[in-house]
Order: sequence, then structure tokens, then C-alpha cells
Amino acid sequence: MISMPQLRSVRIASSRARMATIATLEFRMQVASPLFWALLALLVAAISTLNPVAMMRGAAADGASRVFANSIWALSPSFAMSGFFVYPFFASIMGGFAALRDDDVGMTELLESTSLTRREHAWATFAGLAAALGLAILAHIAVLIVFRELSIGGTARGPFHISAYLVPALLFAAPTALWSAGLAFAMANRTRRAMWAYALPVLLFVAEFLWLWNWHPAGISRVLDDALIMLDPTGLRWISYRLFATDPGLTVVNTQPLALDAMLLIGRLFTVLLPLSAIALSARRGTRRGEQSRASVRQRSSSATSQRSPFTAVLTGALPMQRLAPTIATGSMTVLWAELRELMRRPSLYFSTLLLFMVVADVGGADADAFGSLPLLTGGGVAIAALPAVTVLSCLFLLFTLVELMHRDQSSGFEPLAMSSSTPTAAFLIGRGAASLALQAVLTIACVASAAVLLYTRYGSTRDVWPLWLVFGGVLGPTALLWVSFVIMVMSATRSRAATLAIGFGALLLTAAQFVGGMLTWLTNWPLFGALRWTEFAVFPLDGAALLANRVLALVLSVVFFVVACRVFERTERDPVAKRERWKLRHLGRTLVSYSPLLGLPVLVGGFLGIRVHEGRTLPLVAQAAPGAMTQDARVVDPPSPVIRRMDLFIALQPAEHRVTVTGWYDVVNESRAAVAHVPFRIQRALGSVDFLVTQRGTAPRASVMTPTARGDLDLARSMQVGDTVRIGFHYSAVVPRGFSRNGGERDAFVLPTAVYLSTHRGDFLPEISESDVPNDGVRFIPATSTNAPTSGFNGGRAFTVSMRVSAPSDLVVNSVGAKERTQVDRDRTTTTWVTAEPVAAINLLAGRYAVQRRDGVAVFHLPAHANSVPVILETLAAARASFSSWFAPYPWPELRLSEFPDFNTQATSFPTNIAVSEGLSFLADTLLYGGLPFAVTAHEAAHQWWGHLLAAGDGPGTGVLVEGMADYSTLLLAEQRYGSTARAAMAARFETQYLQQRVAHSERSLMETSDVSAADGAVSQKKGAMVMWMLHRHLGAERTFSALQRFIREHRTRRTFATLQQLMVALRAESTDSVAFDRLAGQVVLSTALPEFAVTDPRCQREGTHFMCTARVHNHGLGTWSVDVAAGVGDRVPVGGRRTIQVPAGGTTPVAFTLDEFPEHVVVDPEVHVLQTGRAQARATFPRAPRSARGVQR
Amino acid sequence: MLEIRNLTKTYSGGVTALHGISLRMPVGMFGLLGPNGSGKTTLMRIVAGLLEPTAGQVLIDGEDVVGHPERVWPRLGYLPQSFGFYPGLTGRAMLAHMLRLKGVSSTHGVDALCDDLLERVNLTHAAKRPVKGYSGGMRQRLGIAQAIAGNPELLIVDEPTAGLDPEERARFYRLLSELAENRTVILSTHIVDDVAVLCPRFAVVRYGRLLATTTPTEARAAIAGTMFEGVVGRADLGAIADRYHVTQAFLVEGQNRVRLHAADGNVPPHFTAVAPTLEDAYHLLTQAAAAASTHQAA
Repeated sequence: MISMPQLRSVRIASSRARMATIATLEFRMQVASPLFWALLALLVAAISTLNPVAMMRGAAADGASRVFANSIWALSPSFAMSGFFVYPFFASIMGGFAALRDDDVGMTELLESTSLTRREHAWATFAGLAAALGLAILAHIAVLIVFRELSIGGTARGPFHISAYLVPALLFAAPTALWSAGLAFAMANRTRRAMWAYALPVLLFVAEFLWLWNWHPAGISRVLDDALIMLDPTGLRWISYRLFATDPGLTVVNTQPLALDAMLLIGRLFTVLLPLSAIALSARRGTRRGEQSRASVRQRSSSATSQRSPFTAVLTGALPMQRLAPTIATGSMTVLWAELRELMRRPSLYFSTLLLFMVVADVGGADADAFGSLPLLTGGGVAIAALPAVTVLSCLFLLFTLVELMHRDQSSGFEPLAMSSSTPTAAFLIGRGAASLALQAVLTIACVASAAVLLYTRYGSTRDVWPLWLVFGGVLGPTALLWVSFVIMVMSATRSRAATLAIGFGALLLTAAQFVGGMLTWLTNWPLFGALRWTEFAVFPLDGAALLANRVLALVLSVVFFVVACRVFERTERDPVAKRERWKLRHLGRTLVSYSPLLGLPVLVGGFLGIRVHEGRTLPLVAQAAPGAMTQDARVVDPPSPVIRRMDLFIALQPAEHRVTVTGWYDVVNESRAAVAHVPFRIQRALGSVDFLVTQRGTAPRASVMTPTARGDLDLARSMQVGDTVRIGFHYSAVVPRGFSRNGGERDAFVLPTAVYLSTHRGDFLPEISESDVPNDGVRFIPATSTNAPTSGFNGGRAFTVSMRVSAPSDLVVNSVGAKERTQVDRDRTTTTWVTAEPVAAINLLAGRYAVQRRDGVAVFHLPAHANSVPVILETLAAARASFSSWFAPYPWPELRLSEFPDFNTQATSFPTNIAVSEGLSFLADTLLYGGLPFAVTAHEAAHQWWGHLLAAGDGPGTGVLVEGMADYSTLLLAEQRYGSTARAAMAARFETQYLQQRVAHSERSLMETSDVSAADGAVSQKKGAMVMWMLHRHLGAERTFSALQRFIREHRTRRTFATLQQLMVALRAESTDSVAFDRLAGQVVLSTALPEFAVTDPRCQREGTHFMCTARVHNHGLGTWSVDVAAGVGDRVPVGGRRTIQVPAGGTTPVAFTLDEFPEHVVVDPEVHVLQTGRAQARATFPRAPRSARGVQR
Repeated sequence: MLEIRNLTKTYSGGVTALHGISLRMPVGMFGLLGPNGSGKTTLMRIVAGLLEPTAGQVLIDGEDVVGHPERVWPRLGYLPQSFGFYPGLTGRAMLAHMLRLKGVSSTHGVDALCDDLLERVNLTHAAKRPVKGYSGGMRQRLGIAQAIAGNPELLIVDEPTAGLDPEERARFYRLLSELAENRTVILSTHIVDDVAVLCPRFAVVRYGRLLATTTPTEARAAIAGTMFEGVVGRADLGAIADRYHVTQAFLVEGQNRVRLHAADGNVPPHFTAVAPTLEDAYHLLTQAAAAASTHQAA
């Protein structure tokens, strides 16, 4: 007799044995699956191609001060990124398939008949799956150790700590893998549908991009942020907005353990517990398909029996039947119709349609920019913005759909019937491909509808819908076709759902990795990642030919893949002996030869694309700097010795051929201390060969030809003595841009039928005099921290006068620098002459089918359709001209113009008298609070007429402040003048935020030492520079500051010397009445990196009679001693007596007291944003509410 | 005329399913009889063009099936041993889909033809019901309907009566015999009755080898006068099996009835001579093959 406890222990032992058997079997099957091996392969590929250290701030720190690639701080993003991009897709599919495998192989009923319980089966299967994923993570760690510890890729590394690998793997990769596998397993187990295995990673992908990872608006509440961190299974949100919210510093990153917080740990726990709970629930409530089918079969069989008709004679011969083998067309239609019926039954069709609808609405409806402006949406803009997400999601949906459709014959057992039918093989493949494309058509309609609804809700019209069809249909269509044929080919070759999914994911992820690594070109960029930019000037006017060739290549490859699919699709199961024969080299060779006719067209189109991309490469022809230059403290590089003092140009534009022909003369003067025997020229590739003619007094003209070169010497008949002038004529005719761009994206120079933009900004417009080997007076600094090769501005930044005649078709309005002297119309061409009496250091030439608006010496040239923000731009330009003339120096040119150009490069560049602004930066702006982006851009670029053109800054450390910093400072001044102090404070707060987000604290230098060699340095020069100038401005007062600035510009305006920040400080100090106080402030803000970090504590209010006595303590956790305003306010209002100015030293605390007539709500340090600081959110506190009886009468 | 020449099939694990089988099948019903695992399904799949043999030829009216299986498919009606349908489609829609794949049409339209065919296999009442709700027999009948559609020149039916009740089996027998009047019908089965009822000629295979090609009458005649039957107690069964050549032992009304083969007439006294059946012939053939195989293995 067995006792109950014995019985229980026997049952437990038996249960454990069963579970161990199931788990072991599951583990073996998972490890043997192609998905598992593809997961490993992709992890290795991701590790070897992507270096998350490069994505971390501070990674570009120079010399020995680098982030260690094997530090826990560097490895955490690495594991989290893998957790996002790689694990979810594989783990979900592995989980979903594990739950459904018994159904697929018909084992469910057998298992049901054993003593194995549903719960045991679910947990044991999941345990086996989790063990396989654990093995994958261990392999991931091992490969990472090999790559990071052996410094493959040349990254810096510190001491080896195994915990640096294990902790991030356990915190980020493992929970994400478990989350994906567990939820997919639970859902599939519960619903018996594979759809969840596919839907889950897609949902996660979309949720991460739209909300969990990327959505972090300014001012997001802490509670919401915490909730999102908890919900984010990858941990990327925590890494982005908590771990690296501010630059932690190189020492911390390289030596300290990860700064974990409670929210992360709660989130990780939630990430693990959620799938486990879901599995528990599914194991309890889930139904086995066997049960359902048995019940339904019983019921239906009985009804069938009851309806059986009496025995009747059988006469098949009497049936009038004909048999005619279906053609490819009729067979395809048959298959298509059956697949469409199947698709319409599937929830995935409706799920994917709805998801894409939401994604397009979210991605296309761009958020407000940094200046609070909502972009003005256009159909093309919305479509191009949403295209990458739509492409990725479409490819995923098509992959899942096709795999399931092609697997259906196998899984349903219909395969032997279908394969022995007389329908041609191609018809099976075409039918299924067509069904997938029908799905794509539905998705396209969803995308177009979503964008149209978006446009309608914003603007009340759907006039701009045709670009949606063009992009989502015409551009995306070939991608879908190529992808469909690729998947069909892979599925035909492998006949394995898992292998096809693995290869499909692999193809997508490797393409994404190539895109991130900048390796895609028009030749290889089949999904068009990052290649397209939309402009309202014309339909893909710049890269249209490249796009067309790329799409043709996609279509041609689709055909090739499809033909290959038909060949490799085996309706007859091949004999293994014959199969081995086929893999022999001789047979493979014959197979390749038989495929060669297929490859002809793709090779032709691909070759054409490759050659054109090669022609269009834009690598600079500047010689590489000597390695030693990077480690020296400073190095003097000589500017061009002979400099251009005057140029006469005749420019003929033939936009239909993208051609510009330039004939010109340079008057070149030797300003060095010695004679020169030749004039060195740099000819960029865009120009092609240039004919030169040198005329030198007393010598015969000498002609020569120069091809593109970093430096080619134009020999003189006689040496130029100091002060001598030679006249150098030149002529070239070039197609701009030459060839195709590498992968679409940005272009700064183009001649198109609807728009022209040429400039000396990048030296690809005119022949450029390069550096001389003869010493002269010019001084330019290359800082020791520079990672760039030394480059030179056109003519070394020296000013010259220009006379320029431009001939262009009359439908184009041409705009350039200087004053328009005359216009001459000859048939369908117009020639305009532009002259600059005041010397300029750069020229540009823009043309377009412009409308022009003018007032008060300013003009805006814009597309007629882009008039929405023109009033703001025009007003700002006029105000800038008037105010800056009054504050800094009179504007020397007759007119200040601003010209719109296509959004091939969203940027603005201020050329003398003619500011070039791309359409996306100002003209497509909707909501315009305080002028929004149009005001900010216009004011900033207008300021460069003074800070950059009238005053030329040197290239040395600190001089970035004189250009970009002063332009932003001028913008702050103009914002305060036009919109008041609130607008100025809002803009200053944005500058402060941008500076704090972009700075790299551990490598930051003082303003005086900063060189603009990185984005972080640029933020220091520009944003901190502007705020520092504003602080100095407040210290000195407006009148003294402007006086100093006027004198400073006057002294440097000749352009024979280049201004430095030291000189500006000297000029400002000269105006100071308290030089000691000025030196103290300037020492902190210009010569050091000190920043205050204020915090308010102990806010108290007490009623005393009719008043409230309020106190608080202000701490400075940062560096430096600062004079700062503190305000006790009610809402945005500061009542009488609510403002104090206090001094707070570094690490010190200063009490502040207010006497007020009313109860204040809060106390704020620096309410008007005068002092650049970090941690502004902590620099305020709320006064505790007094008991009602103590509050008195509220006003 | 279907002709099979030296057909050999070896699977990737090294298992040889067919050993150089050669057969000629004229117009009419031809049975392929053999126990489970004897290679029948492999042979059927090769003839249907769904499996490539390791060696050998299959010719239909001189047309090479192995090299060009697509040439046999338009002439083929095939009912595999194991098959399924799209579970979401109704029986009628599934059949219509299959007819279109085969290129079968009718002057009255495919839908009308489907109705006729479903009536022939007694599925009219379930025509509008999803296939996922069909019983095994109903699925089998739907499979039969698609196989006979289009009057195929060659009809291959692999274990077609599995899952059919006696009434349906009888209907199917009549259907097949009618179809076999003007085409080759290959009936692969392990049920001797199927062959006995339907096939004027049949082949017996075991272990991938062809044991015999004969007719039921010839097979029975070959052992005429050598078969005996008697009732044996359970305790004596072993002794009888040791001493005599037992072809079958089965229960009839609770009693063990044993059939013996004895060419010399030497049998236990209570055994009486009986008329040989096809099953006796089949068992004698397969038992001889098994013995030869065991001898070879030893």
C-alpha cells in the first residue's frame, strides 16, 4: 500500500521526469533550428559592424582619452541595441513556433492522451526554449569578449572584467529575449495562431520607435517617463534618458560600475514577470487544438451520417468534363483567388493595415521643432518621412504573409494534390506573389489614406495627395516586388519556414546595419533608406535619374529572383544521390552558366548605376594632414599667398542639361613677403578640366589646362614680386552635380531646370587658389584636438570684389551677391549683372521660379506656394537689418536678400547680401509662436552679415564664438526687441538645453580654447557662446556692449586681419566701468568651463500681519560664483517684492527672503534665463500651502 | 500503358525502399499489394512524378515520367495516402480550387461539375461546410472526387479505402471499376479484399522487392488443394505453428481458426481441405519473402 505522501512524491518525480524530457527535446530542436543559427550569425555580424561606442557622446574624444569599448557603460548600449534589433524577431518566432509545433506535426492529440498535463507541457517547452536563448546569449557574450578584448576594430579598451559583459547581458539582452519569446509563446499557446509570433516583434519595433525609446518631449512628466521605462523591454529608454541624460564623464564611463536605479530594476523585473505570467495564464486556460477538432468532428460526423443518402449508382462517365492544362495566367489566377480568400480570413491583414495607418499618421505628422514651430506638412514630405518605417513594416508583413502562404500547402497536407496537378510551377509562385502584392496594395492604400487624413485634419483639404501615391505606390512598389520575389526565391530553395524567416530577417538587419555604417549606395540601397528627400521645387529633380535606375534595377532583379525561384522550386522531391551530384563543382559551373543570360540586364543596370555613383563621388581633393599635426599644441598653416582681389565672371546656365559654363578672370595679388614663381590651384572634381590663361604685364599670355587636383601649380612667366598683380583667365563647363550622389541625401551644389544653387562655400564652383608654401602675415591655427584635415575657405577667407554676368533661361529668377546692376533679355534667356562694390569673401548663385517680396531694403525670394511664413521672414529680415545696423555697424550693401532653395540639404548659409535658406528650414513652417523657426533662422543668418562677413574671424580656438555664438547672441537681442523678454527667455532656455544635450563634459574646453571640430564643440561655441555674450551684455549694459562691438567690427573690417575672441574680450573690457568684476565674470564664462547648478531648498512662507515673509535657501552644486536673480512668483507673474539678486559661491548656500503682499506659489532661480546653468529643473521649489486661516485675503 | 523499369530508390539515411522493380501495367485496374513499409507509397509517388528515383525509368505510353514529370500531371488523377485540404475553405470551394488547378472544366461550369462530383462521392450535404469540420471518411471522399475529376488517363489511388465505412467502400469499388474500363488505375493497398474485389491483375511487393505479378485466379489456382483449416485450442497454437506452415490464425466466434498450407496434405486430423483465398496466396508470398530476407540477413 502506497501512502499519500509517497504517492505525491512519485507523482512529482514523474512530473519532473516528463518535463525534463520535453525541455531537453525542445532545447535540441531549437538549437538545431535555422532560426537559432541565423540569430547567432546576425549577432556576430552586428557586433563586428556596429560599434555602440561610436554612438556614445564623448566617443570622439581625442588622443588617449577615449571611451573603453569593454567598459560596462559601453557594453550596456551594445546589449540593449541587440536586444532591440535582433532578439525580439528571432525569440518571438522561436517562441510562437514552439507553442504550435505539436499541432504542425500532428502530435497534439497523442500528447493529450498521455499523463503530461497542459501546464507541464507549456512550462517544459518554454524552459527548453529559454535554455536555447540562454545559449545564444552566452555565445553573444563570448563573441563580444573576443571582439572587444582583442580590440578588433581598433577601439580603446580597459582592463577585462567579466561582469562588464554579464551584467548588461542579464539586464538588457536576456529580459528582452525572454519577454519576446515568452509573450509570443503564451499568445500562440492560447490562440493556436502563428500570427502573434509575427505581430509581437513588429508591435515592439513600432512601439520602441514611436514611444518607448524615441518619444521624449521636453517637459515630460517623471511619472510618465518612469512608466515608459518600466514598459520598455529593451531598456533603451533608461539608457538614453537616465544613464546618458547628461554626459557622465570619461572617468565614470571607463572605471565606474553602472549607475543602476530602482526604476530600471523594477522595469527589468516587470519585463521578466510579464511573459512568465502570460505563460502561466495560457497554460491554465489554453486549449489544445486536438480537443476542439475532436469535438467538432464528432458533432459533424454524426450529422453527416444522419444525412447520408441511399445508395445510388455511380456513373462518372456521364459527367461532361474536359481537361486542359492551365496556362501560367489561368493557374496564377486560380492560386491568387484562393490565397486572397485566405488572406481576407486572416486577422493579420487588418492588423497590419491598422498599424501602418497609425505609423504614417505618427511619423508623418512631425512634432514641433526646437523653436516651437510646427512644420507645414506636404504630401511628399509626409510620404518621404514615413517611407523608411513603411518600408520596413511592409517588408516584415510581406515576409510573414508569404512564408505562411507558401507553407500552407505543407502544413495542410494539400501539397501532394497541388503538386501533382497540371498547374505550372510558375503559376503557384506568381499567384502567391500576387496575393502578397495585393496585401501591399492594401497597405499602400492605408498609408495614403492615413497621410490624406493627416493633411485634411491639419489643413482641411487633401489637394496634396498625388505625391503620396507616387511615393507609397511608385517608389515603394518596386521595393515590395523585389522583396516578394526574394522571399519566394528563398522559400522555394529552402522549403523551410524557419530558414526563410531567418534569411529574411538577416537581409533586413544587414541592410539596416549597412545603412547605419554609411555603406549603402544607389546600387545597393534597395529599400532606399535615407536616400530620398522631398522638395516642392520639382519631383525628385536632383536624384531622379538615380532613383529611376535604382527602381529599374529592383524590377529587373525581381524578375531574376522569380525566374531563379521557378527553377529551384522542387515539385518533385529530389533524390539525395542526384542532389549530391548537383553540388559538384562541374555541375555548379554549368548551373551558373545557365543562369548567366538572366544576369545580363541586372549587370547592365547595376553597372550603369555603379559608374554614375563613382562619377559623383564627392571626396575632397584636399591633401591629408600629416599625422603629427594632430598631436601638436598648435600649428600655423599659411593661407593662400597670392590672393584674389577682384573677379569678373560670365556664367551661362543650361539647367535642362544640368550644365554651368563659366568664363572668368581673377586679379591675383602677391601679398606675401617674398616673390612667387607660380600660383597654386585646387580644382575640385565637379569642375572637370579647366582652361587657364595667365596674362602678366610684360609677358606673353600663357595658356594651360588643369584637371582636378588637390594642388596644381600654374607657372608664371615671371615671378610675382610682393604687391604684383597677375590676371588669370579661366574657362570650364561642368555638369553639376556630376554623376549620381552616393546614396541620395544632401547636396550643396546643383543646376536643375527648376532650381540652381552654386557657391564658393565648398569650393566646387570656381577654381580655388590653394595654400602656398611661402610664409606671409596670415595666421590660422589648427588646434591640437582637431580630427579634421586642415581646410581653407575660398581665397583663404580674403575679401574681393566681383562683377558677375549670369545668363539663364528667362523662367528662372537669378539671385546672387552684391547689387543687381542691369538685366538684359534676349529671346528666352535673361542676362543679369551683379556687382559688389563692398568686398565679399564668398559668393553664391541661386535661381528658381521665384516670387519676390520686398520692403525696407530687404527681399525674400521664394516659391509662390511657400508664402505661409514669408511675412515673418520679411519682417525679421527688415528688423535685423535695421537693428543690427544700429547695434553693430551700418549695413554696407544696398539690399539684404534671402533666397529659398530645395530641401536637398536642410540648412541655411549666409552669403554676403544673399542668404540661402532651404525650404524645410523656414518656408514650410506652420505655427509661428514668437516667429518660430523662420524668425530664429532669419535673424541668425542675417546676423552673419556682420558676424562672419563684415567681421572675419580667424580659424583659431575660440573664434567660433565670433561667428556662430555672436549670431545666436544677435538673435536673442532681436527676439527681445521684437517679442519681449519672455520670447528671449524661451529662446535662451532652448539654447541652454541644446548646449547641455550636445556638450561632452569630460572633454569640454573653455570658450577661449574651443575649436569647432565636433558637434559638441560647435554647441559650446554657438549656444554657450551666445549665452555668455548675453551675460556679458547684461553685465556691461547694452550701450557699452554695442559701443565695444562697433569698435571691434570697425577694427577688423578690412579683412586684412582675422579677429580672435581675445580681441573681443579686450574690446568689451575696455568699456567696463569695473574691470575687476568684468574679469571675474569673463574668467568664469570665457576662460573656464565653470557652470552653476542651483537647487532650492527649505521654502517657507509665514504670514506677518498683512504680509507674507517667505524664505528659501539657494545652493550652488556647480562651479563658480554667480550673481543670479531669484523670484517668488504666482504663475508667470512676479509680485512686488518677489525678486532678489543674490551671490551664490561654488558649493555654497545663500538664503533669500521676500516680503510679499500675497502668498507666492513657488520660488525660482534665474526666472528670465540670464545665467547659463545645468540642472535648471532643480532650481525651483514650491512653497508649502499655509493653513487656510493663515493665508489671508488672496489677491 | 505504364511501364516501370528497374526502379530503385534509396533515401538519404541509406534505406533502400525499392530494389530494381520492373512492372508493366496495361489499361485497367492494377493492384499493388504489400504490407506497411513495403515501398508501395514510394512507388506511387515516383509514378506520380512527386519523387525522384535513384535509378530506373517510369514510362507512360513511352513518355518519361522521371525526366519530365510535368508531362504526366495533366493526365494524372492522384489520391495520396496522406493528404489534406485548406481547412478554412468549404468542400465545394476546395474542390473547385482543385479542379481549376488541374484544368478541369465542364460545359455547365466548374461549380456545376463540383456539385455533380460531390454527389458522386455523397458529399452534397456537406458541400458548404468548411473542410476542417470533415471526418476522415469525408475528407477521403473529397480526395476521391478530386482524383477522378477530369477523366484522368492514369489514376493512382494509394490506400483509398482507409477511413471508409463498408457502404462507402462498396460505392468506391464500383466507381473505381467503372473508371478502370478505359484507363490505367493503380490501386495501392495492404487490404487483400480490395485487390480481390477490384483487380484483374496485381503485384505483390515486400521490402521494396517485387514478389509476384499475377491475377487473383492464378494466385488462388497455384495453391489449390494445399490449404487446410481447423479449430485449435489456445494451448496448441504454438505447437501447430512449429510443426506446420500456418498462413493465418484468426478468431471466429471466439474460437481460434487456423489455416495451413501443406502441399503434401500432411495436416492434423481435424483439419479439412478448403478452397484457397487470395489472402492465402498473399500470405504465402510475403512469408516466403520474409523468410528469405531473414536468411539473407543471417
